[in-house]
Amino acid sequence: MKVNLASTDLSKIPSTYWAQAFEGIRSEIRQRSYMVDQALRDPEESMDLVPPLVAELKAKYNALLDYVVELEQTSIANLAAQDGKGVPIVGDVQLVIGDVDKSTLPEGVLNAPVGREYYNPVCVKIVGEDLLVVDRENHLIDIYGIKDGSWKRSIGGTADVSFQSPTYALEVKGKLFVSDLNNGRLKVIDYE
Amino acid sequence: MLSETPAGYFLYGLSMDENGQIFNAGLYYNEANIYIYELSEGNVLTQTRTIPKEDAEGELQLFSPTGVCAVKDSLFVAQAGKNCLSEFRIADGKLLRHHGERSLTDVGFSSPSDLAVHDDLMVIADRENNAVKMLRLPDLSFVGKIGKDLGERRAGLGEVTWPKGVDMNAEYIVVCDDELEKVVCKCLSVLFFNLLLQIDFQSYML
Repeated sequence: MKVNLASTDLSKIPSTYWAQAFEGIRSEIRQRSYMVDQALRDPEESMDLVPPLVAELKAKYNALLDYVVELEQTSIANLAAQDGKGVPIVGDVQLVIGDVDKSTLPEGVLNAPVGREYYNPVCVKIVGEDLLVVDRENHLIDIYGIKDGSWKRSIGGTADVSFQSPTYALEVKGKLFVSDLNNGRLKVIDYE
Repeated sequence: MLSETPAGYFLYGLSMDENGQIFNAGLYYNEANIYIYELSEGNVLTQTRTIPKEDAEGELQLFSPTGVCAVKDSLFVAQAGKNCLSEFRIADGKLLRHHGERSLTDVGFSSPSDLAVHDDLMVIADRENNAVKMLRLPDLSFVGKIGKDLGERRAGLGEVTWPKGVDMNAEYIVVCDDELEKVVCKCLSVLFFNLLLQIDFQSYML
């Protein structure tokens, strides 16, 4: 099942996959030896130096390419849901939260405008399907849907719950722990 | 509001271990501590102990710790002031190792601000290197990074310019990024090449 590099339409593969994939391979090679790194740059001429490793690396390139092609036809979610182990490849940006020029975003990238200027947000947390953004100097914690970027609600700025420069949030079993910097306090609130 | 601690230090990163202990990085000018709490019945936060700025021999072990993450028996701390990642044993607070030093390299850090772990992968907001690094536990070997050129503040979707916060699960890496005067929180998909590690390379090359 060797992939024919010449006949594969590489343009269909997002460049970010390649950049990350090859960075991982280069890192592995650097850890082995400088000589092997050289061999990868010019495998044909260096075959006599480290034949077993070069053969393995060439195979790895092909295996990687084959897998990337397969990825194009596979649901990202299904793949990620396997066992979570292996070589991670960071894919394309899915969602940008913040007031950006939408015309600069590629097709398919979601944008969630904030409607106010972020003022030193310092923490993001994934809580199930929610994405929390701790907006430190606006003294708020915003909650968005991570799948669609929809704004759900904000925490803070009320008589019941207020912060003075919150810096971090952690959700555990329905409770939200918040580092409230200028109050010097760690606060616990219900996360509904 | 369920509970809150008495006023104290400026508080930053938070994490909880498998036993329900809560770790909170606190600093005040030249002082620093990792506070350890338990949440008891009635939602009362009780401080049980600290990991102090200096060890028993007076050696500096914490300098502007801002991110903490409990992983099994260890607490990993992103130290913006020491430009490294440090691992402490939770049971007794003993420093096990400092990892990395200030440098513009894949294995170095410059004001690492936050970290998160999913499975055996760790992501670190390497703020002043303008990158998010990914390492693999337990040896903290470098896996990859988001951010093309370390030390360069480049705008663009695939870049990070001033990452302050980061989190990760099986599907996403999320980054809180100050992108050239405009702050955005990016959400990037993560693909796990699970099968690569299981491939018999010789048999694959038919």
